[in-house]
Amino acid sequence: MTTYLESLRAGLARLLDGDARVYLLGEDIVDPYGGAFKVTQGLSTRFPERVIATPISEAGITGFATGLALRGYRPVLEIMFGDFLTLCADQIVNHMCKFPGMYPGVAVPLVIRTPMGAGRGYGATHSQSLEKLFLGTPGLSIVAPSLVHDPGAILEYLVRHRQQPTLFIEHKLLYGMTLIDGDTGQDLSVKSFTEIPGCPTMVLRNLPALRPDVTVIAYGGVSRPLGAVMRRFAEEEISVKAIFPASLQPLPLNTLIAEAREGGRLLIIEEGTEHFNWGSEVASLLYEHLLGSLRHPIKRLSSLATVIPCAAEREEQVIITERKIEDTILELLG
Amino acid sequence: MSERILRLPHLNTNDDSAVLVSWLVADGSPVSAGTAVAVVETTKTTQELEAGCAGYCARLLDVGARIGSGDPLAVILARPDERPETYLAAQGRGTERGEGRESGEKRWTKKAALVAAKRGLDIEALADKLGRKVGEADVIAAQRPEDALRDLVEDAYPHGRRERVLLVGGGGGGGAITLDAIMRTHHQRAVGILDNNSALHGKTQLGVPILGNNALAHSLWAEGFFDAAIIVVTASIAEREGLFHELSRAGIRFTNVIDPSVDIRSNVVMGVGNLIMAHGFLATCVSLGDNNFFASHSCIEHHSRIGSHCTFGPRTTTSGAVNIGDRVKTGMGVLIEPYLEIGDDVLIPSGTVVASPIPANSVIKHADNSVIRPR
Repeated sequence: MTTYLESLRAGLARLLDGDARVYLLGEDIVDPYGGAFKVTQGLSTRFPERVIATPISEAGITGFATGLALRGYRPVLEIMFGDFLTLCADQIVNHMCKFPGMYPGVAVPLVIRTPMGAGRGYGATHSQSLEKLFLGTPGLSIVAPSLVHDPGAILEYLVRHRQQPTLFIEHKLLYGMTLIDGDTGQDLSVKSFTEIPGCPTMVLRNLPALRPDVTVIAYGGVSRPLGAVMRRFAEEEISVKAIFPASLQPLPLNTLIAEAREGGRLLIIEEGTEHFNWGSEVASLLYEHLLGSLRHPIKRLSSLATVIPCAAEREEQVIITERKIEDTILELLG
Repeated sequence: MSERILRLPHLNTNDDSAVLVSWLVADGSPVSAGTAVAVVETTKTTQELEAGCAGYCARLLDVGARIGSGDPLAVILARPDERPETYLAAQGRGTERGEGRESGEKRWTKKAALVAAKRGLDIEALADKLGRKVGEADVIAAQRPEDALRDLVEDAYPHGRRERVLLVGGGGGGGAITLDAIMRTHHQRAVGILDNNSALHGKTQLGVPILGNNALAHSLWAEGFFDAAIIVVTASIAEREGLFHELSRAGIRFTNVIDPSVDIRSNVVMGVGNLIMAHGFLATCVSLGDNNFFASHSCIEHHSRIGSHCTFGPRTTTSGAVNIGDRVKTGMGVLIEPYLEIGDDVLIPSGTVVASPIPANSVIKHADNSVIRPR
């Protein structure tokens, strides 16, 4: 029984313990506060030299981390809320991602961790899923582990082995949740496919003996409501297969194609806003590769393209909820 | 009823639970609406909780207990001798917040309901009959054989059924040979014939009904009556071409009808709306446009290119690499020598041997039976 947060914290501890080049940087990440979501709690006490609280300047600390990476360190930068990534955009888009292509022999092994997502009433500027703004940036990989992944192990792999900058997206509602694995997910079957090194695609089934009625492709925080819907739907005899790639960019395309081909109506869910999003790219690629074997159009479900309200009832109208997922699946099958 | 159960409200965005710090009233003591009953503490602050109505406060928890948002702390009893369990049982144990859906015993699974709705089966009647929760297997087992057969017929194209073809301008002999070709294929079936000869309406040809004028194609397409059309008109190329454009613009799909005895070799490409009758031969690398009609025994040799809206009589033969334009009409037994260019809108009568290029808009005279010298 490990929570998403415990897995991340353990992964960071292993990194600090095993590699003197690893530095954690971020605002308010040192003890006793231990970070806005407590992911780094305890680490500054164990590794006081290499867990560093920074000034409140996202652009500055992103540039600083880039410099460390250029000089051979393995920095892990925490941006307190993913919404603040807009302040880092110049450093990410115009600098860290371009250096490896502009200068021979240069690598930028840098991981930026940041929480995204709504559901806690944090309102318009602390609840968004802004990874879509960075999708398609050349030279940047974007990773968002789900509840079915081991986020700490993925983070550890990326810091140790990735030579290019990576955005590491953590949905803030996942932190306190128990990971779904062989032990905790008895009622759900889990399979893993590793097309992209270190970033497995997890395939979750609620009725593995039956052909899927619906195959859902989603990532990160959507695993929370979708997992609950899948458990409920098992009693309703509705067979759902969920495909959770850890890597949003690049995509594990061969795995997606092979798993989507098995059948069932295809549904792509993401918490980012509708239109011009991750699901558009996934759907387009699947149409290119599966045209002729697709029997129905691919359906997409995402958050409404508007401001995220604070009040819980209003917030639920805008974002992805269990009820919206349930209704969409029933609509597809009806 | 629900106001009698005092639950922990969702106090702030950072906490899903709180700790019960103290009780402000004794167990079982009378309270009025608005009386502060207990104090709870979150990570941010302490908070008093008030009774929602008048009654007698029955405590459910001891000081120090951790409570989740929406969980009950106390019940405000209407009479002092009541038991709180009565109220809790009536309410169910669910939380007020969260996404739980309709509760209560369900008589069928959602999948069973979906399958029943698709098959037009009354699931309530089935649940009454079985007297237990209905699953998908029950719905399938309850289906009558004739329903299953109907389902096969109504299954949507192209899964497990033949393409439904509508013949346009098919009341005459051309319609008969087209129907005959379709009957010999395994992937198509004719569902209706249109013809502007109103004397034919209501009759059948080879068992297929003649439904009305050619213009009826639009409404039949809108109804989903057929999957694709083929134009059978051969006498007038102008009418053939006009119909093709008119129906294409309306979004109606065209198919190719090819008799199974036709021999099509590798690398042949063709558009749509082509009708190729028995024993035709299309050699390798031949290309066809749209909406052509080739009568039986047409032989198109390798690398020949044929435009659109042409009609070829029986045994029309081209040699290799002949280039034929649009709207070319040939009679029977026309032979065309290799590498020749035949322009658009050319008419070639029966029995002609074409030995030189023909410019567009030409009508060829067949110089037949001429005496070239005395014997």
